[in-house]
Amino acid sequence: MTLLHPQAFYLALSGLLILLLHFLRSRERQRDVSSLLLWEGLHGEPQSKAARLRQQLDPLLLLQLAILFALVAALTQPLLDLPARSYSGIAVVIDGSASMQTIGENGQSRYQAAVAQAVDYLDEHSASEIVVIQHSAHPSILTASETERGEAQAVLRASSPTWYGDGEIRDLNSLIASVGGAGKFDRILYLSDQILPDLPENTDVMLSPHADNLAVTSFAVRENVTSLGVTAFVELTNDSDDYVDVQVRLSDGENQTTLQVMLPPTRAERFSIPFPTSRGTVFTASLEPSDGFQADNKRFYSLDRPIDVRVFWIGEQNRYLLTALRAVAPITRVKEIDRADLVIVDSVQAPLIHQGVLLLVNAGMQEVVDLGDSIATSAATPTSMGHDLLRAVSPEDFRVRQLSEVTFHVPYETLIEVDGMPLLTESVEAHRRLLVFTANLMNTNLPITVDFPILVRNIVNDLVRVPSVLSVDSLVSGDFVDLAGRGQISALSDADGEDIPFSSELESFRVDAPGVYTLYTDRGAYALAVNIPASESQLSQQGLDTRIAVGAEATRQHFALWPLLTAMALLFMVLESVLYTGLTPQYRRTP
Amino acid sequence: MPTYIDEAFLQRLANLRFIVKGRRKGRLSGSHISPRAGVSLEFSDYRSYTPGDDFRYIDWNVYGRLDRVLVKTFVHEADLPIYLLVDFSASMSVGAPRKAEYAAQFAAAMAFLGLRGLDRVGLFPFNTELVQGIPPRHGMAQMGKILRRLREAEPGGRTSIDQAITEFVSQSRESGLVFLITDFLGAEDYREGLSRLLFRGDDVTVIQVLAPEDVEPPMLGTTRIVDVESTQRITLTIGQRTREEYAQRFQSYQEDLKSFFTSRGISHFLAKTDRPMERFIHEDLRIGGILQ
Repeated sequence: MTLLHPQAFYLALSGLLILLLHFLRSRERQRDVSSLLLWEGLHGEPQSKAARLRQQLDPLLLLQLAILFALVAALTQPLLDLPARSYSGIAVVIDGSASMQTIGENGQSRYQAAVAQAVDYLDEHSASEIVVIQHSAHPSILTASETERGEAQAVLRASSPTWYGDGEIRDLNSLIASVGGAGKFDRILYLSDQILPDLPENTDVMLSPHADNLAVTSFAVRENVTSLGVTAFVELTNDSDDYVDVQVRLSDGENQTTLQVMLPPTRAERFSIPFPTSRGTVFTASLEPSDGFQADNKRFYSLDRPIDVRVFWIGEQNRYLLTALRAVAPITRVKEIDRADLVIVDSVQAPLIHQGVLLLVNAGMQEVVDLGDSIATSAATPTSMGHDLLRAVSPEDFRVRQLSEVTFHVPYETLIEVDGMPLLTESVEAHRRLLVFTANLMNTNLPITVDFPILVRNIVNDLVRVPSVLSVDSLVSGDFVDLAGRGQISALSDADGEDIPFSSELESFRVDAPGVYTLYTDRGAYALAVNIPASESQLSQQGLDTRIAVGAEATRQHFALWPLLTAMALLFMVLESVLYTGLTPQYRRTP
Repeated sequence: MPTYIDEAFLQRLANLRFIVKGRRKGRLSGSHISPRAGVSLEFSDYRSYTPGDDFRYIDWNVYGRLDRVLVKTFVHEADLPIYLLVDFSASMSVGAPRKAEYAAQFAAAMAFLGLRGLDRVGLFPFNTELVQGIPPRHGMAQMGKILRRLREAEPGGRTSIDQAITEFVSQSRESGLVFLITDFLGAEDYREGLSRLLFRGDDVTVIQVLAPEDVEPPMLGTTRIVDVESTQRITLTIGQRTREEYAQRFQSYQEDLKSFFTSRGISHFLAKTDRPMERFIHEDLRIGGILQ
């Protein structure tokens, strides 16, 4: 039952006027008789409350009220929904994109509302075969072929929306073709929050109502070139008819900064936000206040490399080495070895360290490298010219006055040797990468050569500030991440921090939800920021809603009840008139 | 203005005539047997010839056998004055149709039957007294007068049957067939008047016109009951018990009326306004010996 003009119910208040007039009239009926001859002396009988009430229930009053309510009901123009015809096949296409997770005012998501509509539709339209398709950037068929109504409804109720973007018509057509083609289905029910162009003519479209939306539709972070920190670039969209005062909060996990802006209605505006205190690599831009579609109130971004180098220093602090490091990248000294990107051991015997990038300068490490006696040398001779760590470095210019004998307990590769003895070695293990410089820097000319900072830069950039093997600026949910050629992957965790089952044969995986995925490689751990597609937050095309909604309604069968109600009112009028004037004069209050 | 008699109704009344008890002394020739000898086809008696008698009535056969000159006398068929006393008091305004309309229609029918039978018919509407009565006359012109008067009459005023009859008797000296048409609900002063009519020798027929609600009041609940004649009112809460009590009273009242009428030899007919007039005339009055 649908009421086209429910506001007409206010006219029912005029029934109070009828009641008022009724009770204002004399409570007693008056009756003329030919003579009191036979009435005089009669005592009558006591009137009980019930009898009084029965007396007050004047049939004329009831009929007058019935006339009023029938007319009022007719003015509301009720439409009776009638069961539609049955079909041989129905394809239910429900939009499973991220925007369908928008929560409406009734606390129900668009997807839940669409499921309810689809279930009702299947109740009203019987079909011998029903197929349910969840449409998105990665559409899928939820039901087996030749599914009956009850099963299809159960599948719909059990389904949930994805975080993917909107699907395309060609994908939908392909899916329908795969289950028998469009000719197999008399009707296609399409439930979405936006219209899909070029739908078949036999499609019933049910669109979710438009809702206001605030969104971070774009987010990127770049390192400052000439100063510390980063600068964030955000695009904010206000899909409403009002100016909205919003706050953008930038966070790198440790530090945060905010920006307060006033967004004009139905506009998208871009802002750059300086974040000089940031040292992080994973950033979050969140919008406050949040709205019904919270997924686009927050976007993620991860830099393709660390910004500063966190150094844990053991032993003497050589100021030349420190200066060379600072020339390459901002250096932060940390006190916990677990948080360090680089561990430097200088001129001492270090305890056993199992993981990380370690630079041993004239130093040993238990069970790995033992440092022996110092030996006087002449000139150094490079032995591994082709190694990446030595690019742009000229080892022949090195001069070493004295170096130490070393004994390795792990495999190693000599990068530079002096008089047949290793000066710089590299040892690569699963979780540990070890560089050993066997001389005291002060016994060499390296600190005063141009090659020294180049060598240190190579070490830092190649071993510590390793660029992401995934050279992508941003990922959206549903994207596939190609792992081939990305190095040795050791572990993978999703946006919630849960481990993703992983095998060495895995060549790619799909990021299904927005958030920060973590990829563990032999070169370190890297963050992968995943967001929902920005198209899910684009300004809505409100003009289309009504047109399609009308088209969908036209396929339903409605029966207008107002003529019937008007006829009922007329019938009541005639009955009331007959009761009053003719057949039953006892109902008259006055002759 | 109601039409009391239409063509079809008249045709259905055409075969009816009044039954008169005994021989009436009419002044003019009519269709009723008179105690006076007269000229008609019905033989009455013989008497001795006296000079001046019409030779045509000498019975020559008797003269031949008995040698006496006797003259045949015949029954004198006299006319019958018919008086229609119609109650037009306020109590006759009750009912749907109103009792006054029903009474007027009945009076019109009786007037038609009387005038068609060459009788004189007079109309005497009354409430507490006679109101512009029409003396009895012959002819269909009288019918027109009676109908006009019936149409013009509006119920009103109180009822006094005794006073109205007393006035009627003083205005109309000749006895005849009297139809008293009333509801007998106005007052109980009818005995003296009716006795006066009987004493004068009138053949009295009482038509008691009642509305259905006079017999079975439809009221329920608390009701203000208003006497349309006196405008007195009483308030009663009417239930089934009260209605039964009323029915008993009505029955007792009717029995008193019948007892009086029977004791005086007065024909009494109860005419409820929901009963079709034609059936009342054709069935009740014929069975009751008023018409044939």
